[in-house]
Amino acid sequence: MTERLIDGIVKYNRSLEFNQHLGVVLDRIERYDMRSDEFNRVLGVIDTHTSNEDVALDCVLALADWYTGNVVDQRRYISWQVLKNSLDKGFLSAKIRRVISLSG
Amino acid sequence: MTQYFTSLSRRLINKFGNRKVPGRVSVVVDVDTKKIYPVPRTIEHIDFVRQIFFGSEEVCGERLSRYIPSHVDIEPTDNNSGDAIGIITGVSGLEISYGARHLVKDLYSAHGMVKEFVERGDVHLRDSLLEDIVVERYALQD
Repeated sequence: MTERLIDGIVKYNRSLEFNQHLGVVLDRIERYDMRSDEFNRVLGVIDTHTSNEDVALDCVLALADWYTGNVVDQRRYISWQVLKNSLDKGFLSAKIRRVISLSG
Repeated sequence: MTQYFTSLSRRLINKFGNRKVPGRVSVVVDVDTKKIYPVPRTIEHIDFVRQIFFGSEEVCGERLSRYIPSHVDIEPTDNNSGDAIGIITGVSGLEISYGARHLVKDLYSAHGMVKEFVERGDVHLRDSLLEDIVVERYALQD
């Protein structure tokens, strides 16, 4: 799953630095759990390593699909929203805030 | 009763604008009737679509494909009319968490309808949009 997520996120951005950062974050994520601090770190990586909005959107949707696709319970949407609400928006760019808001 | 709109009017923007982020108006396009419904600020897409199109019926994936989300981002201008700077079609919680999928041709059709909807309205549609995106990630094969 981690590989699938990375594949999606780096589809348009194959820089070594980007892959390394993201790999470190995602390797620590348990299958059915993503803590808010991990979520914030992933979003921070995407924010830092994407220069335009459509690439950032692709990355965030890959993350959303990965997450909602692997939550066991039936409340996956609620769960994703809870995670989104835990975002520390203070350190994220307007680009990422706009993109994340599209994900439900 | 929620109504559809034929243009992105100032009245619509005042009532439905700034949804989730400043300057955003979210709409749902019914590709069969070609009507465009603005999504209220405090309602998620799935709840809105259920309320408007399904009533007490169970939400059905096949029918869900006919309702396409689109988002218009508006930037304030000096003359207070605003510029539409971005249109993004094909993604919302409907697709991510409820599995809504749409035909590619319907996505582009809805995107075009929203552009016309903006052009008929009270904001200026920028010739060169910052985001002019049809998200095909959740598309069905035609």
